[in-house]
Amino acid sequence: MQKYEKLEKIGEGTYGTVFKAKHKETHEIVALKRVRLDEDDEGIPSSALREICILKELKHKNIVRLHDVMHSERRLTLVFEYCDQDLKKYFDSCQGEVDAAVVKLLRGLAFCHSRNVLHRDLKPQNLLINKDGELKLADFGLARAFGIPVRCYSAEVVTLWYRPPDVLMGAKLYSTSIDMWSAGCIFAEMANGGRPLFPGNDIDDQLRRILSPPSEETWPNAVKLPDYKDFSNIQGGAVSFAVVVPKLSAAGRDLLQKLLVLNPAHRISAEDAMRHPFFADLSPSFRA
Amino acid sequence: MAANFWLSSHCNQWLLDREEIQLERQRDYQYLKEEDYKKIHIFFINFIQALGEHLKLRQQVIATATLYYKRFYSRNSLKSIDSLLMAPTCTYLAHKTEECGVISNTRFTAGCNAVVKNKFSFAFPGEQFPYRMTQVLECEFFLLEMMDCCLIVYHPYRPLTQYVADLGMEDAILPIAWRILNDSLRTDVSLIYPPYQIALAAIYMACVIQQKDSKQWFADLSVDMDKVLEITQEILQLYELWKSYDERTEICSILSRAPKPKVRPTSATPGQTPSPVPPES
Repeated sequence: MQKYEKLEKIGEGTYGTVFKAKHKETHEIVALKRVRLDEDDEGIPSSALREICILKELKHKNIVRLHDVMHSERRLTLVFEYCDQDLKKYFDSCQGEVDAAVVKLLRGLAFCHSRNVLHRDLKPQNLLINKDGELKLADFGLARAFGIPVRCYSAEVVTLWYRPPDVLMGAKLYSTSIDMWSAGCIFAEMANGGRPLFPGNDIDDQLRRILSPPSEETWPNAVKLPDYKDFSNIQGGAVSFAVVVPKLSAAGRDLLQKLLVLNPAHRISAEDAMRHPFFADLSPSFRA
Repeated sequence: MAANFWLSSHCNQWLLDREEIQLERQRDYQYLKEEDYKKIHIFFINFIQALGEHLKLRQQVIATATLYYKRFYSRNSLKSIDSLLMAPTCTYLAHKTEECGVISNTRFTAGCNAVVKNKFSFAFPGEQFPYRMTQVLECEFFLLEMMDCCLIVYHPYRPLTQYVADLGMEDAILPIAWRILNDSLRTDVSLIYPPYQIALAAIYMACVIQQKDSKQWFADLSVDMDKVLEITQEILQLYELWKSYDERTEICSILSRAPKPKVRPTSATPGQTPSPVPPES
């Protein structure tokens, strides 16, 4: 712990307090996440363990780097690379650069998915931007390594606003498509200058906000979901994307539409999304 | 995660050299013959297996706990932390990393106690499990740190089922090969070889036992058969050792010769002793 000098408190994470700190010798700025350990409890919390073991396997420029794990008397400290701001704060300054930010998000996701890791909690607060403008996926406290035999997962993942319709209706089998829906919501939010796309108050409200109600032919298995709700007679379905994201180009709307497909089986993958024409103007290095 | 073994910390940081492992053990070989050293680890891996079964854990979790245990002592002397504390700690951590939720502390310590009393009283006559949960939690830190936080591990069970399906001999081969893999946890193969090679060695041995011809299948795989045979040799050595060894009557005297941490609680005063000695750096 003596290696670092604490500078200021940045925030409260899922399982501990985050500080900005400076390495005493190298002067490198880092983020310290302090994990509280309660006496006679579960030891190292599962969420911290998940983050540690997953980040140990994921080294990529669009994923926040875990430098070190330190422990002292009943306290665990994770040392992360420092990022100046999260996407929430960045929205104002990134007008016109939505495509660059989105492609970085997709690149980080494609990497996670290629290593069989689901993030499961994507939201603007978990996307960090460093001083060079690089976007990093962070907070893997809910992330999960998935194996080949699909297992049942918890339906209580992903912050409500970014939760896909299948998970809202209780789907316990999901895959990379869960993160793609969230990426779509974040994309629209960026395009609208930080206004959340589906800011629902509860699960029903959330489902009602999600554009068109699922139909028999586009999503035949929806009725089999544990908490299936029939929204076919709800007013206001099938809102045009031109109204929802007016500032976005036609190509951008097309990509958004492919990310926000109700049926998880038909949602575009991160790998394919990166090759979408929306990113045609970016230099090829962005898509590498 | 099967497809990504080659990019994992298991592959890149935790496949060790046999020489490297032997070198680390020289400290303990001052007190113990190599064979007795092996017997101590076999004993504590049996403990992990028994505790896992008592707590009704899946074999995958037991295998992960065993690999954590092997990793710890591949870099540390028996003197650094008592195996009787390290073995259950590995189970406790593996249970969390394999996403099985949390075991309540009461259930966990009760499990340790039951296993010590009912299964291993021949080694610890009249004793209880001497550690408290706070010591297990403290030990968990040392374990995490010593493994450099590499907690995701790969096992040969999944490649085994895939290979056997490809070979088309599920009924004849799978149960025997599976048992061979369980036995192989008591050797160093999981520290040295990638899981797929261990799976192949188990299939190779099972085919010999069942007198099934798999020569062509192995030839078509174009794998390094020398490695497969090395693994086979190491597992056969374990079977050889078991032939002339009775753990129940011999382990007490072996344990008494083992190097010990400076402090080891006695059951007269459970938990009243200082913390375990941290691993030597």
